[in-house]
Amino acid sequence: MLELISQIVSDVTGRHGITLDTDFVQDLELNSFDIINIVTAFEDHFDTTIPTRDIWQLHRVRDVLAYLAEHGYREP
Amino acid sequence: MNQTPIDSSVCYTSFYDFVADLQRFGEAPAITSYDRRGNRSTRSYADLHRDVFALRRALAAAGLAGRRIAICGENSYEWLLAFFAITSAGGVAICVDIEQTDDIVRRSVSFADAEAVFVSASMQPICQPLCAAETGAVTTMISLSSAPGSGLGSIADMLAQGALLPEPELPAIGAQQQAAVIFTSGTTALAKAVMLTHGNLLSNASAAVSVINLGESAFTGLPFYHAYGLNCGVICSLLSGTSLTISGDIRTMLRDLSLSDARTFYAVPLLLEVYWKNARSLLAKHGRLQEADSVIHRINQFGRIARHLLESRCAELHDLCFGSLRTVLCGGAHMNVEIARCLDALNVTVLQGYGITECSPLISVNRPDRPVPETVGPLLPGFELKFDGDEILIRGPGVMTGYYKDEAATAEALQNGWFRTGDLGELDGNRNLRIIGRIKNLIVLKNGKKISPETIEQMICRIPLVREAIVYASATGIIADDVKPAVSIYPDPQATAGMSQYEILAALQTAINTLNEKLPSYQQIRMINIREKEFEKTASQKTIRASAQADSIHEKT
Repeated sequence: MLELISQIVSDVTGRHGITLDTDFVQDLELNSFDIINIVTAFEDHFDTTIPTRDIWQLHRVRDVLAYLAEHGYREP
Repeated sequence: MNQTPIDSSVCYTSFYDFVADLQRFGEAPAITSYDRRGNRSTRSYADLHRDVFALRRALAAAGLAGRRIAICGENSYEWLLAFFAITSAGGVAICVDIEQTDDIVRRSVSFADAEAVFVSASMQPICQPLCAAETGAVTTMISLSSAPGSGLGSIADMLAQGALLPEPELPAIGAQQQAAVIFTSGTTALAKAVMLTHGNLLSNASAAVSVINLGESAFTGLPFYHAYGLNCGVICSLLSGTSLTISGDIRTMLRDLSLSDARTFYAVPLLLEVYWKNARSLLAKHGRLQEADSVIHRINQFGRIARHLLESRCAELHDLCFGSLRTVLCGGAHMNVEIARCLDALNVTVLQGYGITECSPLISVNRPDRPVPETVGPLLPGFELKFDGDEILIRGPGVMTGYYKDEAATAEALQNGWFRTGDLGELDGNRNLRIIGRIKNLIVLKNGKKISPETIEQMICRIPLVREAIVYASATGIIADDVKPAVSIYPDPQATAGMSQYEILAALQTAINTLNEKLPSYQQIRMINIREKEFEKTASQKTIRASAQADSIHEKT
């Protein structure tokens, strides 16, 4: 799953080399529209919708992994 | 400085009069929105007039006319129906900032003494505890969503019910009657609840449309629970008979702007930046970015002559990037002037304005015939301005009556009818206002959100390893509001005895991460600096805030 996240972040923002502790705002300096673009790519991949309020709680890559696991998302 | 009076021909006394007169625009499109798939839905002025009055009748039948009612949801046509029905029935609309944490959302509703809540599907679980008998005065919760299954009475039910009811006899509404409570985007504990009257909001909107022509169509994705989105975005558009496209979803906002083909776009600096970035991507995709850069450069260097010579190429590039867009209204934070110049060269005029919730909100705005991007333009008609030192003081019909249940803060902010903005400014030779700084320690982000450092500092100082903390805006770019919240910490020497600097930083980072989880995203601390000595203090032991910022600048250089 980390590879998938890494690929999506790279496709959307051109940033590489993310780790579990990478913070989207602090480390990658993404703005809210960049983050939404990443989330939209996730939503397309998993054919789902992530509530907007939940999105703002996903600060680091590990938060995204925890969220996906908690909500039962798996690689299709 | 006195300004011209407002044109009374477009100024309504109350939202009842305002809504009653909407039907003069008949079947002209009033509000358009798009769903996630891009399907368009348009309501005419006649629809809006009919729906507001139906909901007003249903509120009266439910005993909710004249009551304090919260609206808790994303931008939508139904949000606007709720606002206009509450206010035109003599009640007070509590506009809840839904970007806050769940707890602050609930506390906002309770603090404002709302008796009922209009709630969107996403906010329903968060607001549900407010209905528990032991927690508050909320007796009724109404779903803003028309989809079945919420288990609540819905606005759709009330519209159907209201269509069959007779018009209620309700007391007349005066301009001085409270219409809305809008929370200033600011403090973490609980933002100040600004009380605005019918006269405040409507006079401000009238003054704005007397100097800015919105054209036949406009677009806004700015939240209605802020004064900028509600009054400048919606009420000004409806006063002008403009066709307004609204968006409540950040995912589809820029797509909706493009689909709407609007002539006027309401923005904050971040939105303007993203919009310009997308336009550049579009130019690059068509292989015309270099050409556009060259055109922009020549127009900005040689002015009118170059613009005349390059007229047809500008028009072509404009059509390629911007469709029908002609004007961007930008406020909420300092704008990137370079982007404004680029857009202006390609025939999109960017008009920067300045406002504050307590003034309903617009105070000044650049005029289309003579914009000066470095300034926020001349004062709006009806307002007076004076300076105390460099601080901007404002008086006029848009100035609030006070903060709800906070007499001390009201007395501090309002003196003899003058509102102390806390912003520092100066006027140029053409009476354009330029903002040069702030007295208040607010951190202003380029999406217009504001952060009060003191309240976050109090939370950080509860971390056992921390002796003192100063939260400040750390610069991330070239413009004033291109900043992120950062903290400078003086660790407690006893609590950190025997720890290395690395261990202290790691422990503080963990504690700040935990704290961040409790804060709305925009308020989260993005950088930590550790100090080896205490902050400088005044004789009364008050920390000199500038010393923390000076240190941070020193660290960068």
